[in-house]
Amino acid sequence: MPIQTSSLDKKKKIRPDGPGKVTGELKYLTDLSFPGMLYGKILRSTEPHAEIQSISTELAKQLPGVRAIVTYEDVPGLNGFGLIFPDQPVLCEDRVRYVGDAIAAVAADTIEIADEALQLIQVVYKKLPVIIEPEKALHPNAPKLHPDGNLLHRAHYSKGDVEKGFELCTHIVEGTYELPRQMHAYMETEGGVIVPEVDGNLTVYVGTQHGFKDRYQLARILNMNESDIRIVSSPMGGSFGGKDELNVQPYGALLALATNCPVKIHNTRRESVRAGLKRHPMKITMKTGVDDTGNIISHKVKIVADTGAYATLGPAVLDFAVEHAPGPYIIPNIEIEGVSVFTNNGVAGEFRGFGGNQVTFALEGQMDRLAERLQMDPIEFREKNLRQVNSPGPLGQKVAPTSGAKDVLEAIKQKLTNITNENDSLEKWKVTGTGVAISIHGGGLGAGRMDPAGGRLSFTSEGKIEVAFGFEECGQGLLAVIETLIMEEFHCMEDDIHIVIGDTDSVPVSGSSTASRATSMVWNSIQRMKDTFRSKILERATKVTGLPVEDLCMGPNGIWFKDDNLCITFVELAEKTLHEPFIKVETSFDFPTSPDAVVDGSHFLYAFSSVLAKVEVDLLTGKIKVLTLDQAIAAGPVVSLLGYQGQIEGGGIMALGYSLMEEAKMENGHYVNDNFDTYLIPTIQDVPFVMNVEAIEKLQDGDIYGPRGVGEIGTIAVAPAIVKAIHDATGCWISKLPVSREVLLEHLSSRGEKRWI
Amino acid sequence: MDMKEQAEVMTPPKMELSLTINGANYELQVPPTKRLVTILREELNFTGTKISCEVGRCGACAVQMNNQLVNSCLVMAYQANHASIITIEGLSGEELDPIQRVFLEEGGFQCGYCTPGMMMAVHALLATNQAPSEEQIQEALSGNLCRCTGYGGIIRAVQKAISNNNQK
Amino acid sequence: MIRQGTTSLIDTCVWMPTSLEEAWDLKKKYGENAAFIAGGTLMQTHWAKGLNCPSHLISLDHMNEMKGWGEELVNGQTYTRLGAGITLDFCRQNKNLFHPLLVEAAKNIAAPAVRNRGTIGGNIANGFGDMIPALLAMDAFLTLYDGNSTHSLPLSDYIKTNNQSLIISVLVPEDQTKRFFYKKLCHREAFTPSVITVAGSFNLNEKRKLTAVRLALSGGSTHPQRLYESEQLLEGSTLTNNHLQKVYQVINEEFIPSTDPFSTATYKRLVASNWVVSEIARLAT
Repeated sequence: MPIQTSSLDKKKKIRPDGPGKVTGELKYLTDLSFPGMLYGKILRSTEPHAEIQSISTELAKQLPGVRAIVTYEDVPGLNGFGLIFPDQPVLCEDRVRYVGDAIAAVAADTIEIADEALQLIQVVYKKLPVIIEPEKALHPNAPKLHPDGNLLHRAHYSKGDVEKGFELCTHIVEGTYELPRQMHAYMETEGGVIVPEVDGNLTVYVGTQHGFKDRYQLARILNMNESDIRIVSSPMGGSFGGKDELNVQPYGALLALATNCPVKIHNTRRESVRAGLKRHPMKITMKTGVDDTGNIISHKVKIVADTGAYATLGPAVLDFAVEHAPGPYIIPNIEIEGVSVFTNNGVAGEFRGFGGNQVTFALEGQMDRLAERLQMDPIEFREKNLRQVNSPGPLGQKVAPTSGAKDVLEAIKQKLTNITNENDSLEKWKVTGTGVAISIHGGGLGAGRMDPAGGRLSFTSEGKIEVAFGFEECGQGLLAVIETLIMEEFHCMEDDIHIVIGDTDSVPVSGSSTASRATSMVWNSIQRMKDTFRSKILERATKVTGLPVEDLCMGPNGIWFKDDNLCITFVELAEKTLHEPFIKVETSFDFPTSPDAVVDGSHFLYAFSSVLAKVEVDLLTGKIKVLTLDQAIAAGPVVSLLGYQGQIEGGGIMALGYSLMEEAKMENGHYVNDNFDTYLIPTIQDVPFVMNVEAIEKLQDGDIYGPRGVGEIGTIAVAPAIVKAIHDATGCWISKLPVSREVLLEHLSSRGEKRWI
Repeated sequence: MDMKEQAEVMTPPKMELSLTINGANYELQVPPTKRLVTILREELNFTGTKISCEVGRCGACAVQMNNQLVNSCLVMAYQANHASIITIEGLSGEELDPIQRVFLEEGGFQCGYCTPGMMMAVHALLATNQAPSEEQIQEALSGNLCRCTGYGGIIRAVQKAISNNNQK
Repeated sequence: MIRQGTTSLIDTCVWMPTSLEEAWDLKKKYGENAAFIAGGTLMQTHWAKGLNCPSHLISLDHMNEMKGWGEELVNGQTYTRLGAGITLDFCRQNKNLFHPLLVEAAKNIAAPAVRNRGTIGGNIANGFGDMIPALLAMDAFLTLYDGNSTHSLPLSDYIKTNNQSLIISVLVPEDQTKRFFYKKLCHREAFTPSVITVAGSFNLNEKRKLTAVRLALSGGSTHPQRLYESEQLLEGSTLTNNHLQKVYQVINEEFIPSTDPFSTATYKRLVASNWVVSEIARLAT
C-alpha cells in the first residue's frame, strides 16, 4: 500500500464526479454549446512593449460572418482587472505591456471566421524599449511601465541584528538561487460560454477558483449589478492557481452583450501560454550563518521577483515568499527583503505553492550547504534548528501549536534508513544519490486579508441533504471531500446527498478555492452547522413519527430508531413535511488568523512536508532520472484518501518538472516555448513507478481546526530534495532550476579524462 | 493512360466523409483537412474527446481508429474516411468498462480532462497485451500527459486492471 | 480545421493519386503550392507553428509501391525492404521482421499515437528524423522516384543534398554480425524531439580490430551527419584508452551540431563524444 495512514480504507471512495469523468459524459464548461452560439477570439499584442498608435477594425467588420468586434471603446465600466488592484486593461487603448495584452475581441459564426477577422484588424504600434530584467526595471532611468514606476511591491521583515549575528558565526554560506517561470499547464485551457439571458442578465460558464470574485470584477467592467451576473465556475480541467484571475470572461461577456448571442471562447494552447499567468521567476540571495555547534544564528534574505506586466496577486505571492524565508527553523537574527518588479515579460501570479516553492528551494539549499560546511548530517542539522510544538511562526507570530515539522522530519529519517545510500547503479556511467528536504506552508490568505468562509446545509423537498459551498472543483477532489465529510457526520449514503458548488446563484460565500483552504473550510463549516442541522431534522422526524427524539439518529437513507431500525426515509420525511418551513442552516466565519501577526498575509495554520528523493545521474550526459520521490505530510486528518494521495503525488511530479525540465523561456518579451512540444511537463516515463506518501494525521490536543488542505504542500520541498540528491551523487551543487544538464556535465567533465576501458 | 484523369481529389469546401463511430455510421460533408477532433466535438457532439495542445503532444484527444490509438487532432477528415473510430463514449456499454472501473477505484484521474484519452491508450495497450511490464505500461502511456495525478493513480489503476485480468 | 499559425486553412485541396507518376505529375503541376503527405504528424505540427501549408496536399496513402516489406537481393547482398509507408509503430512492434537497431530507433520516436500514423518515409523525408542515424549506421539505401525512373541511392548520399525525389522504400542490409548502438537524448524521458541521437556499428575481427565502422549523429535541430574522420580513426584499430581518448577529441571536432534555445552546440558535442566512445568501448570489450 503506497500510502500509510490510520483507518484509511473506508476513505478510499469513488469520487462523486468520477463516473462522469471516466465515461466522458461530464460536460466541462468548454464542452458546452448553446443554440445560436457564436465563437469569440481575442487579438493580443504582437509587441511586448509599445504604444498603440491606431486600431482599425473596419476591414474585419466587413468580413461575412463577423458579428461584433469590441475594443477599449466598448468597455462600459472600468477598463481594468486584477485580483488586488485592476491595473491590467481589459482592452488596451494606447499601450501594451506584454505579448498577452488584449486589444480587440471578435465574435463570429465560426472559429475560422473569427481567426480570419483577427488577421484583418490593423494595429499600428510604436515600439518602446522592452524591459526583461527586474534589476534593470528598478534602475531610476528605466521607462516606467506603470504610473508609480516599476516596483509593484516591497515586503520586509527583520528581527534581531543580522550583521552582529554574522560576527558570531563560524560558518557562513551565501548563495544566489534562480527559479524559472513555470507554466500551470492545466490540460483544459481557459474557456467556456457566456450567455445573455432574456431578462438582460448574464450567465458566465467559465472556470475560475472564486466565482464571486469573478462576478465582482465582471460587474465592475460591464457596469452591471453583481446580482445580474451569474457565474458557473465548475468543473475545471485543472487550474493550480492559474484560473483564479479573470482570463477570457470579460471578452466573452462584452461580445455576448454586443451580439445578444451566447459566445464561446476556448483558448488554444498557444493563446493560453501567451496570455496566461505563470509562476514568478525569482532570484533569491541568502546569507546564512551558524555557530560551531550548528545553531543558525543569522539569516539574511533578498528576493527579487519578476512579476511581469501587471499586478494580479504579485504582492501576495511576494509576501508569502518573505514569510516562508525562515522556514520551519528557529533563527534569532533575520532580515528579509523582497521586491516584486514589473517587466515586459509574461504576467506572473498565483500558482500552487505561492512563492513558497521558490524560497524553500533557496532555504533548503542553504541548509544542505551549511551542513556540509559543518560536516554534520543534514538531517541532524535540521533537527537541531527545528521549530518546536509551541514555537512562534516564521515571522514571530502566534500560530496554532503543531509538531508537524518534527513529525515529517522523523518520518523521512525512517524512510532514509530503508534506502541504500550506496551507489547501486549497475551501469558504468551512472551514479545515484539521495536527498532530503522539508517545508512549512501556510494555509488561507493570511492576516489582514479578507478571507471569509461559510457553507449551507438544507433539507430539500426531494428528501436530500443539500450541502452548498461557494467552492469549485478543479480536479482536486473537493466533491469527494464534501461527500465524505457529510457521510461521516450524518452516517448517510451517497444518494442522500446533493452537493451544490460553483454557481453564484445558488451557493453561499465560502471564499476562494485557493490557498489550500477549501477542505479545511468545508470541515470547519460542517462542524459549525452539524448539530443544529441534525437536531432540526430529528425534531421533524419526531413530529412525523411520534418517536422520542433521543431515540432517533440520522443514518443511511433516513432516520433510524435506536440505531437499528430505519423508521422513516429522508424521502418520506420530505414528502410528509412539505408544508413545514424549509430546513436550512448556514454559517459564515473567517479563516482563522494569528492574533498578533504584524506582517500582512502571515499565517496561523501550517502544514509540513518532507521529501526523500533518490536520483540517478548519467555521467555522460548529465541527465537525471528520479528513482524515488517519497513524501511525508503533516496536515491533520486525511479526509479523502485518493484525493490526498493524488494531491501529494501530483504536486510532487509537478515539482519534479519544475526541478528538471520546465521553464517558460522568454526572449525579449516573447515566449520561446509555446506548446507541449517544447514546454515539457513530465510524462509517465519521467516519474518513479512507485511513490510513497505518508500522511501524519496527528493534531495537537485541543486543536480545533481539523484537516489542513494539501493542495500545495506536495509541491514545496521536492526541488531541494532532488538537488541535494544530485549533490550526493556527484558533488555538484545546483542553485538554478531547472537543473541544467550542461552545467552538471561541465562540472563532471572538469574532473579530467575518463577511463573508457 | 492519363493518370491525372483518375486522381481522386477532395476539394474544399466539402468532401463526402463516411465513418463509423462507436459502431454507428455517419455520413458528413466536411472540408478534407478538417481535423477529426473538431468533427467529433463540434459536428457530432462527442465532447468526451478533449482538446488541449492540438499538435499531438498531449493525448487528450486520443481515440482509436481502426483499433489503433491516434491523436484525433492529427487526423484530417480525408485520413479518417471509411475508418472505424472508437471514442471514450464507445468504451462502456450498459456497464462501465473494467478500465473505467479501476480508474475510479484507484484514483486514476483528478480533473479528468486527460482521462478519456488516457483510457483509450490503456485500452489499446491491454487489447494487445494482457500482462504488460512496467516498461510497457510506461511506453504505452507516454503520449498522454496528465498534470494532476503525477501518474501514481494511473499506474495503480492499470496494475489493478492487469491483476483483475489475471484472476479471471 | 488545420491551422497555419493562427490562421485556419479552409481551402486546402487533397489529392489521392494511385501511382507514382500521377503523384509526381501533381507535384510538378502545383510546385511550391503542393506537398506530399503520408501520416502528416510532423507536417501538421509544423503548420501549427506557422510554417507554410501548401494549398495542395498530395496523399501517398494509395501508393502500393510504398506499402509492405520483404527481402530483396541486390548484387548478391540480401536487404530488408521497408515500404516508405510503413508506420513507425509497425516497425517497433515487429522485432522478428526488422533489425533490432531499427526497432530500437522506432521505439524512441514520439509516442504510440504518433507512431501509429507517422511513417518511415516521412521520418526520413523531413530531414531530421531519428530513424536516419540508425539507417546510416546500417548503410541503408533508399529507393527513389524522381519523375523519370526508380533508382537506389545510399542514404548517406541522400542526406547530403536537398533531394526532392519521392522515397518509395528503404533497403537495409541484412547483417547480423555487426555490433551496433543507438542512443537518443531528449529533454525528458519520452515524447519530445531529440537533443542528440547517435548510432553506430562496427565489426570486431578475430584480431579484435574494428572494421566497417559507421558513426552517425543527428538531433532535433542538427542535420544528420556521418563522422567519416572518426570512423577512419577507428577503422582497423585496436582499442586502448589512449586511442579512445583521441577518438573522443576527433568526434568533438568533427561533429557540427546546432545551438538551439534549449541546448548549446558545445553540450551536444560533449554528449556525442561521450556516447560514441563509451558505447564503442562497451561493445568492443
